[in-house]
Amino acid sequence: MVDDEEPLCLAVRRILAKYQADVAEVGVAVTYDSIHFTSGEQFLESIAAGAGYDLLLLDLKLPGMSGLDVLTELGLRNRSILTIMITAYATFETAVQATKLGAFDFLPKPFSPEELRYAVRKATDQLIISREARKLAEEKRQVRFNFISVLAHELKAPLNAIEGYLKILQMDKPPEPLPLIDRSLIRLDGMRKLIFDLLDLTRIESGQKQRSFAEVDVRTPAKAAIDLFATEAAERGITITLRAPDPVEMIADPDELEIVLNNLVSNAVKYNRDGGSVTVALVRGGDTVRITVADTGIGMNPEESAKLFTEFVRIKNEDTIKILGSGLGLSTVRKLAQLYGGDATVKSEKGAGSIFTVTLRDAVTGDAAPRDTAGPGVAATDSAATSPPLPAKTQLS
Amino acid sequence: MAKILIVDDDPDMVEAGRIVLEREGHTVESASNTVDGFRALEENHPDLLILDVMMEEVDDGLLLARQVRREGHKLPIIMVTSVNRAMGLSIDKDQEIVPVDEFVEKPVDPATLLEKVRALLAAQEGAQC
Repeated sequence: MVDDEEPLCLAVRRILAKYQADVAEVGVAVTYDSIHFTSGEQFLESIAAGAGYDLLLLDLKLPGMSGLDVLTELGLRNRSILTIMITAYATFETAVQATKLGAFDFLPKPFSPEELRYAVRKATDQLIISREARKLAEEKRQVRFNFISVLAHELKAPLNAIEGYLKILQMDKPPEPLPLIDRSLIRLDGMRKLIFDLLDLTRIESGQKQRSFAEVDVRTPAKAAIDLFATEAAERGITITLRAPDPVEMIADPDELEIVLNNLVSNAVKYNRDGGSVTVALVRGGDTVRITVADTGIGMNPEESAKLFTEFVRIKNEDTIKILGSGLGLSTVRKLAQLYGGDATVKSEKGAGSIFTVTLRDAVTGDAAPRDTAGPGVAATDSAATSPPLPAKTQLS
Repeated sequence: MAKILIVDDDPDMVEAGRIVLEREGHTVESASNTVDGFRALEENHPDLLILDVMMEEVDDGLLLARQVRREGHKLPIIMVTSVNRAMGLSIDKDQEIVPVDEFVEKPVDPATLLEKVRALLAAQEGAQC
């Protein structure tokens, strides 16, 4: 507080010391810590000495420099503070001028404790909410940065591998080229798959793709997925069975069901043992369609299962080292399931196999499903944004 | 000829290294993670270690290099880096923090790799005489 009436300063500080503002929107209880100066010059000295304040109660009429001069100085030094002007006789012109200089509010003298608390409360809301918004924006930037960094690494890995092989083929008396060409083509395939998975994920998250819902028999995309991976499975003696004697109908976007089933069946084949089996089962129970894909593959331990649905998480061990994957498939499956009010989960046992379960509810036609609009990699912050905020105590000065 | 251990989680990087080094008559062993890598090191006593910096975690290679030195192994280490400028991760030789002898950038150029391997093995031989 900057005011030349010292008794007023002390009274205001006593009121604020006992005041607590609960900003319910962000679950923050704010208490106040205050200091006062009887001239603008003293206040600016403390700013110059490095003091920081969240809120300023500033008298307009001060001995020496005026309240408006103080605001101008703060602006010049790029140290704007949320300011409530205290004034006994604000003319319209000074009010306009103060607002232009960044004053947030006016508190006419004389004021009651209630009026003080009300003005401070309003300023506090403004402060906390803009602070929260900044924090959220910063988190989003961070998540996006991490996503892009990992993506860059994942895209460089196949390039490095292929370029490494090409350089070997460039050497004098190069080795037999065919195995190296085969490996390079496999890495190119993996890279292409990564790009497609990335596009799927981005489209789902951005809401850019128009979703078109229709009555779908889930057996159709299931059969298509099984056909797609039949050759790969047959080469390794893996049998794929579809358990769905009756039509399993639901309202869904056929493309989205295709992404879910392709990812699940592809994984069940990829991470299977030679001669193993894959069972795809479709069940409708009440308003929920349950897709389970069980394999007899390498399985996972609980720690591995727990992180499986996170972007770019791939379980790396001796069993999986030669298996290529984008690390995006299952996170996409889970995001899609959540768009249908369901979820994707896994039960797995190391060495015995895994059972993936995806639950989906009928899409509500005409429902523009709420989606994140901030682009790839941002979804991870959603949970942080929508989870109930932790009660925190904030001290304002 | 030397026994060389490659620790890299990318099977094709291992394979490329193996092709280049075996042509020169070296024996190549490999591991795909730090745990297996350290075990292979203790069991097989390689003459030289080629280490990928970023495996499961961004700094797995660094951690393994430190562990190797902490346990008293003095063999030369070549660190293979794919420096990600966007992540601001830059690595320099520092016997405390990055206790390795040489760096090779991905994609690995066979001639460069062989040259560095040759120099390190020669230096080590000289030191032992």
